[in-house]
Amino acid sequence: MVKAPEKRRARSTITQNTRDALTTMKGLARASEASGGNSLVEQDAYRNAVKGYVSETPPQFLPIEYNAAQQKALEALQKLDTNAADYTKKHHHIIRGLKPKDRQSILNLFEVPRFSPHVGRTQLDPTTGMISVFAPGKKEPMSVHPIKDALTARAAEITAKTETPHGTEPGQDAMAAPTPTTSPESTLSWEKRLAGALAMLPEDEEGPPTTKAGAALKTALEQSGAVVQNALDKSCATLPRLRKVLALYNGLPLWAKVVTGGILGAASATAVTTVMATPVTLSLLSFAVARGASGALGGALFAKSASKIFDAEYAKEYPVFVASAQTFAGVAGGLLFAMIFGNIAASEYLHSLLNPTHAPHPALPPLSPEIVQPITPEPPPAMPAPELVPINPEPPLLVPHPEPAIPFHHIPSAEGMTPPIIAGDESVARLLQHAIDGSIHEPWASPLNEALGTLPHNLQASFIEVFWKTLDVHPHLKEVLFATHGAEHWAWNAIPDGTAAHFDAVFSQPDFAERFAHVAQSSSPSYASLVREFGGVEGLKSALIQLTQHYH
Amino acid sequence: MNLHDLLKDDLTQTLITEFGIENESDDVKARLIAKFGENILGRVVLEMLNTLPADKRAGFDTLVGSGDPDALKAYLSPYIPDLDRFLHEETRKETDRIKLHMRDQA
Repeated sequence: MVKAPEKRRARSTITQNTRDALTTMKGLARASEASGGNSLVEQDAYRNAVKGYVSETPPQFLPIEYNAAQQKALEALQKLDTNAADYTKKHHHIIRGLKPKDRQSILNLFEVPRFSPHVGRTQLDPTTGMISVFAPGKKEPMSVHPIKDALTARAAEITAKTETPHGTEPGQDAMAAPTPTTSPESTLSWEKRLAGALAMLPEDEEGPPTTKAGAALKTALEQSGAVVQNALDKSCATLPRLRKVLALYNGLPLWAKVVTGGILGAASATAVTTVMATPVTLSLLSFAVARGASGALGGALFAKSASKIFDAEYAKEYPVFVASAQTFAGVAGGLLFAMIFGNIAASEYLHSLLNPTHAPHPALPPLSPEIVQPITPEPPPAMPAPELVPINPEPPLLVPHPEPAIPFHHIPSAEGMTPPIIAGDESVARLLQHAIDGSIHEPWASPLNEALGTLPHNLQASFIEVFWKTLDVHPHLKEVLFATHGAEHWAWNAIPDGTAAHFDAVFSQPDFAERFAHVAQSSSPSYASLVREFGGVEGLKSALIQLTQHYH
Repeated sequence: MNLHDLLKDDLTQTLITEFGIENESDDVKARLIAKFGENILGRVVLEMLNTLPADKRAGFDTLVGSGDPDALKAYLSPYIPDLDRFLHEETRKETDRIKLHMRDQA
């Protein structure tokens, strides 16, 4: 058996020393160049990173000692060399949730903003996430960039310069390249490595275990988890749906993971196995997972008596959960099932969101105020009636949608012409509006992706399920997906299964939106109800198109 | 989300007691349990794949997203006749592995 603690100690000793860490980076650079299989992008990135630290980094950016986040980032980068799947699985987390201090750490470590020889130094404001770029010897910044903008610009620049000789046209999306499963090192760009390192930063640096048992469990879980994950990465390399299911679990909110983890752990004890294997527990779990977006509901659910929840009325109202629980009468199987069919459950959840007149089931606890109103933006300002762009029922493919007259977020309600999304349900409208408002501050992001990103993961999966179904039915539309968005978007428009899909670019094709709506309607009663809430196929289609128009 | 209330659940308490992490903060408890669940799920999926013949894995993957649980269970049954027992056993084994790792740390 490998003495993992010894390895960890050894690695920790190395990475705690700045000089050795730099040596490590140099070694990476040499290995990258020597391998011959790595792309010029990576070699360039390594050279820049090492060069920046050795000779060019302004003193204020040169860390004396790596802090914990930097060490983890470096280790994550090293892991990415041989574990590219981690990137695919986790990189979408960089879109949101990164703390400013983590960004600062990464910038310090990789010297990201040094994207021009005319730049003397750069400075990041961790509060705003803006990077000021100074010319050599100048005190006033010559430009100020959002961090993501700088990262994206650098990635696009490198891609355009170095990948053309390898057959990639400038501006072509690197994500359209083969997946890392065949040759991870050769297809991972510098930007992707960085994104992976960012994504693998811990969400919260605070709160390490304070007891011996806690610390031991944490280490044990990390060791055991790494073994399982590495094996899964290999076993699931050619199993996309399974990868998606596992990624879905990883994307669950913490509370949901606690619920499932608690159940699974208790299931291993013989004394409670019988209890755990009941349909009641499984239906509860399914429902809890489906309610992922609501968060607090999980705790409330568990506070309730399972027997009350699983009564006849509940079974009548949520037959999907009951059926699933009865079919898969194993605890872990129930969890797996809940996730596999989370899309159906999420659709039910969406349906309940879209039907505010539906009273909560008496057996279920009432939603707390923070759940009911998670987002409280100002209502859209009143404006004149919009000029909706007429939709050709048989538009040619690959033809850009006309420029919108009015961005979506400014489209008001108007008599006889109520925008479908606004008309659907107030809470959904608020959710989408919030996402769109957020995208104003991140202009490179796709508002539809952003909107999707704010939805619960199960709901995202539901949406994506229909999305892929649409592509399966109409494979020629994949051209639209991969041809209409460039490298500058890939990093910020990833969907939870790890695919970088610029939804706006696709949905701005009226043909695709219409087909999507048709597929949704025919997929299941749950999806059909979703379509109905948007006023039918035409309504959903219009809503999707209107949402994407903001991007253009 | 009130993690404190969630962690008071009997099932979660069982796990907390079993691992001896009663004195940790709620946040730490929650993250450890969440990670534990992730490991268990991964292990179960991995063992399922290991049990299936190589040429049957793609079919399994297709059924995973098909929305047909009966078909999924039927597909597995020649190789995993007692799925419930299989899941329980693999969960128990992974828990034992984790405990073994914990003892190594001590």
